[in-house]
Amino acid sequence: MDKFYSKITGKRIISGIVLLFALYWFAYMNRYNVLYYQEQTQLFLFNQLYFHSYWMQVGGVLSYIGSFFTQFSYFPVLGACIYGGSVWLTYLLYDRIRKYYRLNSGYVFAFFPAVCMIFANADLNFKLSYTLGLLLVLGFFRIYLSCLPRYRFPCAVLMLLLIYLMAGGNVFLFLLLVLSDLFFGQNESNTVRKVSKALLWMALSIAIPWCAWRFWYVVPCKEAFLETSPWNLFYPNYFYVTAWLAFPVLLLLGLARGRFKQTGKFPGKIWNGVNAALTIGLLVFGSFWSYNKQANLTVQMSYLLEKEEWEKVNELSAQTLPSELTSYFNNIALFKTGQLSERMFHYNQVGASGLLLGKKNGYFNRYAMGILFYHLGVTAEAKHCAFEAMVGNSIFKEPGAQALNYLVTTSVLQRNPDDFDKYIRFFDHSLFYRHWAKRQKERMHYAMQHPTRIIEGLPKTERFKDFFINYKYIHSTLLYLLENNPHHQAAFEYLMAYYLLQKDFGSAKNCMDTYYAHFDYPKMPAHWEEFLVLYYQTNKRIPQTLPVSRKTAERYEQFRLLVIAPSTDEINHLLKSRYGNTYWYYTSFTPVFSLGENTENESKTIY
Amino acid sequence: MNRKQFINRGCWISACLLFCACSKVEKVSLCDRDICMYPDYPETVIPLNICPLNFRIDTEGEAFWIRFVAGTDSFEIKSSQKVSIPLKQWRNLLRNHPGERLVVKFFVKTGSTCLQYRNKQFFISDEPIDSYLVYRLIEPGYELWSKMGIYQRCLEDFEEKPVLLNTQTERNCMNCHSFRKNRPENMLFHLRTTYGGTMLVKDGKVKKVDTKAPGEISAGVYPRWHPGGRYVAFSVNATHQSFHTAHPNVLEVYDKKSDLMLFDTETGKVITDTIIHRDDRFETFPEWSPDGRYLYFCSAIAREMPQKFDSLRYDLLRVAFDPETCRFGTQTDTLLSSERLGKSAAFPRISPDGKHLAVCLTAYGTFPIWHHDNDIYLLNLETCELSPAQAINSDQSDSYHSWSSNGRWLVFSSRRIGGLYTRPFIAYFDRNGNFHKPFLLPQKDPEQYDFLLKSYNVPELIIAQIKISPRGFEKAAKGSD
Repeated sequence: MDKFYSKITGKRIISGIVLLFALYWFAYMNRYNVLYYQEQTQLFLFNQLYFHSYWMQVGGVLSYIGSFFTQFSYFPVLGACIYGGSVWLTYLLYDRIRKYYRLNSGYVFAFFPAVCMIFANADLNFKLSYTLGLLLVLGFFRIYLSCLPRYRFPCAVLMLLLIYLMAGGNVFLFLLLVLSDLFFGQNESNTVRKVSKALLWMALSIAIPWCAWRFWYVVPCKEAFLETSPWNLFYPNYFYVTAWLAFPVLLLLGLARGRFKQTGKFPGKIWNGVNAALTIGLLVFGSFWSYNKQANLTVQMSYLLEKEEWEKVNELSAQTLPSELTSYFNNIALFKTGQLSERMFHYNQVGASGLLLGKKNGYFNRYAMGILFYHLGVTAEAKHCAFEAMVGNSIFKEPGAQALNYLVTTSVLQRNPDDFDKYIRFFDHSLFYRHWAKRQKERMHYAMQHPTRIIEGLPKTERFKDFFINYKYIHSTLLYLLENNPHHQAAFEYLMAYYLLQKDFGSAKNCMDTYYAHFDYPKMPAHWEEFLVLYYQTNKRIPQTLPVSRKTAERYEQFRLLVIAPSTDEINHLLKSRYGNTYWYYTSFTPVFSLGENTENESKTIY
Repeated sequence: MNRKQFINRGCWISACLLFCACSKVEKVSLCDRDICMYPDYPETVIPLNICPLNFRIDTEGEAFWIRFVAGTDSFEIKSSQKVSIPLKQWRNLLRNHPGERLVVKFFVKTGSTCLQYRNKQFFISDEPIDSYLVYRLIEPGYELWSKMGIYQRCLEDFEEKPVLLNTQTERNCMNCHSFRKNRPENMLFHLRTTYGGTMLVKDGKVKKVDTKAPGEISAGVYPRWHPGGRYVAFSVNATHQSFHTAHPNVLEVYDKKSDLMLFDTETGKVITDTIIHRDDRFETFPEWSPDGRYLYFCSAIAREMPQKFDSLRYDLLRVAFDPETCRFGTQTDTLLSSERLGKSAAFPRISPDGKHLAVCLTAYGTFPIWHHDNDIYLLNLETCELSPAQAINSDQSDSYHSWSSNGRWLVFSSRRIGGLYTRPFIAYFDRNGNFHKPFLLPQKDPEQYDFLLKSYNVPELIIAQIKISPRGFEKAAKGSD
């Protein structure tokens, strides 16, 4: 027992804390933002063609391995263990290296790069393969250190080659580490030999990528040299840069310090405390700096929408800051639960751009755009959006499960066996989606057997006369749908919501007059009543044809009196608390964001 | 066991295994059924220099033996369901038996029985096909793309090399590769947005030129080299696209304006003429007669687009051209009248002997690649007879076609496999003016098409490899920037 307790050192406790934090960070704080998103935007396939597609990329072998491990995030706990474990392993390896040099004091430095990597991973576009690249370099460097001095030079040459083949630009990290060892380690004393070896290694580190660029890969020169390193990312990731540089810099500092006698100013316990405090401080600081709760919640909302857990989406919406995407998801969930016209202003609304997304060139925008069309029964456009999401992101190296999933289900809805066969094949070759693929095949079989029936678990595909989607005026889709099919309740409610959010009273009234009678509402939805009161007040007319309760009219009068009263904090608070969930409050206090300003031009040069 | 005994036993076991692996089933039963194979190669005419037609057997079995017989020569392979034919033996068989039949015999072992299925056959043409096929690999997209590239594929083996990838040039769009008389020394293609311009290769040297003339709608699109090599005919188009919501076709690509122009590769000037540049008409898809004396093109009465997208139909016209003076005639001849045919013409391509013109005809519109009804037709330029190329058409869009340099092969893009992703098919065109059943461009792995989410776009046959490396094009693209 004493032996056991003697092994529990401050460093080991901190190491455990870091590991637990990493697991918590991935499993809870970034479950959707990192694990779910990464897993959904790729689909690892067990076939030769898939491997070949990676083999032709700089650092492709490690990207392939990264993709293999990322698929396990299908089970979030497993994913957290892989992500957290790989980061923690970088600490272990780096610590071993430090131990080799007897750099035992100041263990905060051993944790520093690993802690940075935890936070680097919070970026949506950060791949697991980057962490694996660092692991590979550290592992090779540790092996290099364990070699006899006379074998180190050829060993390093071989490793430079292998690291480049597997992890591309991380070869330079390995070079920096071996140079540190060469100049600050104890194994080589002859300066001429030192300089010769260094020059040879450096020449080789440049020659290998150059040769690969010249004779093997067809990529820009920068990519051939730096791919997978922090200097060739689409979006800069400063935590990754810091971690990458920290390995050689901290090692160098340690080695340089080792050359001077330690003064031993601090007693062991204080020094331990300082290290522990610094490490935990780093964790806290990094969490505040890099945690993107909004992104995690937004992706979580999309996840819940896919699972059709509408109420949870609405609950989450209350926790997020208002944004186009969160409002958009929230409104879909409200619509699916029949609350759009009744309760939409109980939640944050940012205008029409949070109801109908403008078209932008990005994965998530296109993917999200498709969800609404999918539920409105405009299947062709839902499929189009899923397709654009699949192909439109330069960061993804392959079609992702999420977009492919929608392509499969829209193919079922369209009863298009050709497209279905094309896309379902990918799931057949995956590890975790085979069962899902089997279920979709049964659905497809049913759909083909019953061409007119609604398919269980899928939304109804609406029938209407063909029209072109107008992305600049996306609400025109709703108008066309209603003109073609005046009983399309979803289109009616969405169009009404659009006019209300745009504060376009005339169009909203016109829409109500034209289509309200087609539907059998037991009572008029609250927000429409609020709108009518406002409309009649604005136009100085008394409601006759449509029922607006007396209570609503009186409530509006009270609201109006508060609005015209001199503005004080108390009145503002009262307005917010009493009327914050009404259409009146929205019209008075929320600016209109116009839709379509950022919509991409339709003109094409691709042909 | 001492070392010697160990080696002896090892050798003995290895020999047994080898013998078992190579031994043939002695009792073979005849099976009066066709074997299922993908792609559908049988009964096609194949060039004598084509690479092996690797295929996949979709009939269940434990082991497969396939025998290839031509004349008195044959070879046999044992295979899994994915059949990979040895290049050398295939090549020898084809080259030694031009003009003959190639019979393929299938033996399938299931349990203790071995069934011999019905034979399949190919016809080996004595006419070679141009050695390289150039195409763009791109998502059949709609709007966005990530990676795209122009590639050259050797048809005599499976080697595919990039000509230029957009990953080298900031993931921009690149398109419209075109060659003079199927020769790689004179070619061009466009780069759009970043590093935009036209990569012009003349006599093997590459430079970037700007084909956008002041006041024109756009830079050059749909290029066709004048046989003399000095001029390139382009269309200039204001191209747009709209997405259907309930239509058999996914989308409609259309021009709101389009005209034709010539680019002089010697002076870098743009030349045009009112006869090919009318405000009241949309002119597009130029093509030269092999003697360079006529410019063929498609032309439609200008309409409001996209509102009248389904009533826009293009005629096929031609106008005389004098290469010495660079002047056009004053009148156009109508070869195909859209009004009379009730169809719209696109992509006219004249055979190298000048006798035939292959053209796409669809119910309406500019861009037939998205139209299910689109088919390739053959216009006999001597008799003016128009007939559908039935042997090569399918119920999906068959479009973008290109002749080989000897005029005996036509490569075209077809959506017949799966409906969405275009795949290159090659058809033999015999001396009597008939097409034969086309075959899908063979791949080393026959399943490649199953997992490839890209279309083969603008397939063009060329007689030799493009010598300029991707880096050479990259340098030229970035050089003048």
